Amino acid sequence: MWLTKIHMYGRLIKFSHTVFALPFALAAVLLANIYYPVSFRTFALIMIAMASARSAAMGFNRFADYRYDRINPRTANRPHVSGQVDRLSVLLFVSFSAAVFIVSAALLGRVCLIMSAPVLVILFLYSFAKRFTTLSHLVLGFGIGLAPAGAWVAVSGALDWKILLLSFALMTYIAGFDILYSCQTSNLTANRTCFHFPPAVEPQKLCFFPPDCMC
Amino acid sequence: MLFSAGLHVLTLVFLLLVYFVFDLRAIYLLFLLLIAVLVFAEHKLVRPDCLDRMDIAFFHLNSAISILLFLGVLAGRV
Repeated sequence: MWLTKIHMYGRLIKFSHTVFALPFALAAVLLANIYYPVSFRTFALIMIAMASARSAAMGFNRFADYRYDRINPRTANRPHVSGQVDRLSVLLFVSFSAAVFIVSAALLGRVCLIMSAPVLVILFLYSFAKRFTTLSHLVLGFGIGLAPAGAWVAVSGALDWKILLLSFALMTYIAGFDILYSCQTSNLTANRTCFHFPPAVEPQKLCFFPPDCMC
Repeated sequence: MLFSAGLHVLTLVFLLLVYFVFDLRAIYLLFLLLIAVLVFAEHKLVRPDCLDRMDIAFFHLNSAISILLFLGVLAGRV
């Protein structure tokens, strides 16, 4: 029963995709550890913060995209669309994940706590950015790219320009493959869900600078 | 595709800068080379006129790239 529910929420937020950004955050911890000690407590809190922030962002994205996911064949079987998880539950899940993120950030220190709210805003912003700008890929990349910087701040207590290189690497990496991935829904997005794109653009052209409304 | 490729070139440039800035061991460059090969393979695999292979590229290749980055930093730390 519980395992089924956990599996369902895992499917809802594509938990398996955490593997894309998590190694970057872990790499940031390793790099920070060159200069600063890392306790098990700090390491565990960073992992919890990462997982909860991502869960909140993905859950919010599902909530915001509900009416688009219903008409997209690729997303029509997702738990929130098929009715396995209702919208209120999705909202509660987002609230709980966001609360866990803020509490874990608070336990990591004052700077992390102060930065936790803006980070959530940026992560949630993506769900709306993709409605009006093709630069939403960069917004997504920027949001996820904050992970290494956040991990560094959690360990050291302050930001260092050096770790921003890893954040920029993650940002461009995520934005780059988000553009590739968005080609899957190009016909749908061109016709229905994104407001500022010409309708029925060929995928070849879309992929040069495509709309998304995916994820 | 061009814009995406441009971003991924930037990714590799930033990862190369990480090597210099953190003074990592040369073995990191070996992992970076593998990452570059996988990124290149991803762009060869995924074409706008053949989108059905997207999930394979998206999940397996990107998972491998991220894990290679972590292993590269782990091995390259002085």
